[in-house]
Amino acid sequence: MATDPFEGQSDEEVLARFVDTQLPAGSREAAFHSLVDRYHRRVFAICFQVLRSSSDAEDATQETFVKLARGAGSFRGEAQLSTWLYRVARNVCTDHVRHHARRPATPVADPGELTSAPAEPDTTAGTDERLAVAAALDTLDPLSRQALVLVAIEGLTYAEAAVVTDLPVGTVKSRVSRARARLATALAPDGGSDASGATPDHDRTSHH
Amino acid sequence: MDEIERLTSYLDGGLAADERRALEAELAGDSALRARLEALRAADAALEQLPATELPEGARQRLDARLSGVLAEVLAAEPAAPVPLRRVAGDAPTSLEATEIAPDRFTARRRRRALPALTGVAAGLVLLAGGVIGLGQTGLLSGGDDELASGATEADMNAESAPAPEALLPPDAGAAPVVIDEGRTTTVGELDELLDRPELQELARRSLPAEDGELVAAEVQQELLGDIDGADAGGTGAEADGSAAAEEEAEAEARDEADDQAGAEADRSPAAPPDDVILTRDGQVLPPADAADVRRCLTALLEAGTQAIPTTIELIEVDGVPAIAYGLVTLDPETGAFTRSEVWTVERDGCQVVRFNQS
Repeated sequence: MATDPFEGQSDEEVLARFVDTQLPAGSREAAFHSLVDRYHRRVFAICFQVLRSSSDAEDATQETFVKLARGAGSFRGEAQLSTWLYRVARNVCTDHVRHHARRPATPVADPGELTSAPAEPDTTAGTDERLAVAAALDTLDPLSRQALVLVAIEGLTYAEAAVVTDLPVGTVKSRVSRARARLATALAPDGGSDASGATPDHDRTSHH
Repeated sequence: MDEIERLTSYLDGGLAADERRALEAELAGDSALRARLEALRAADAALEQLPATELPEGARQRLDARLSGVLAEVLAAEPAAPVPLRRVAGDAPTSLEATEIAPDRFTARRRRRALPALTGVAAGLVLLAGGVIGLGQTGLLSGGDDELASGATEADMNAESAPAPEALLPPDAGAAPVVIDEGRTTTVGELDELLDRPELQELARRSLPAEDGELVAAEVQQELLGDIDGADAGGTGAEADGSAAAEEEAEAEARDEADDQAGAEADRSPAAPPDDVILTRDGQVLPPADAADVRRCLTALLEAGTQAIPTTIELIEVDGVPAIAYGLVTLDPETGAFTRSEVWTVERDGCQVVRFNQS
């Protein structure tokens, strides 16, 4: 990918160029594409966490950027663009879930879709460990897993994850914290086979 | 802070110096605690091994293709028209609020005073509707009369400075929604089709900016619901809890007047349409009992605080239950324009939602 022509400029500055009607259209369009470069993957990751389907997540991601293009004029800069964008993504996904939850005739996903999920395992060293972590993640409840993945893997701040999950920041923090502890238990040498593996360590270990 | 949070905060470097020292002292004397910390550290390291979600092959090209038309449209738009969301009550409703007013809003109607999240949106509605649908009577707003008055004032000012709402409507829609009195029967599963009504699609496609859309919404609502506030102005406030009685009264009134109007239809002047007759697409007068139901449930829907242009109304039967499907074009807070098509299907009896569809 070419280097960002707007390198060094904040998201908000780049967005301001996109909405600046004094600039030539080509320049404005370039500004928009730069924002897509910056956020496409992450918006997709968020949508994928919510929708658990690659094609649904891709649709929702497109919708989110369409809304950014059309709604950029109403962005007033009291929030960070990232937060604003994630909130839009969250709403698009919520709408998607609501819409489809009410249409029983709609197939949930192609059977092959989930297995060809974007986070494809690669063949480099450490694959076993990754599979173990992925399996351990799957033992978490969906909301905890979502919060943990967004923060620990996708690199969202707690504040951004709070927007995506629609929870207070403190709740996200403690949820992520707990999810880390449960993951630690599940990954511990005796954790995977033990039926009590999901129980936090300190509950079955005496403190002193 | 419980133990888990202390440990994770410690790993994140988020503990204050004294908390950190205290924990380190505990760690020094507690091997089980040390083991838990190490397990956490190992789990964090394992997590870091996981690749971040990758975009599917070709996703960027598909996104660019989808965006090209949108960007061309946006970039070609008149520079003089930024899309500020005009609201008396301050901030535009956030998308969160917009999400929250979705399907439960009818069932929540009687409890709405207990739903603070709705008040921002509802205040916006009072503003745009001015005195049209008389929300002030419901006691929804704490400062009811004052806010209602200032809202009406602003709406008036707006009406002077903005283009005539009729000019913004689809060519053959007039200032009233299309009433499709098919009386057909359907099932819940088939209601999705109602979103495909050309009237809805046409209006949504126009993507009216917030201000224009609000004007049209007010116009259409007045056309459909009549100047209820004007008629009841003397009782505003005093009838805060008499809405059911008021509804029945309005219903009876509507029935009487509609009968009269039906006889005198030839005298109708298009410049001053009667506010108590609802015409169907074929130009037929909707029977008064139907019209009363249409008004009653639409009022309930709009009271819940949406900024909506009623666009189609269909009297149908869903799984054997008489129902009304309202096609609305609503404000999308993200785009600042009226671009969302929604169909709300409600039971005629209690105006309870049977189904909500959204484009």
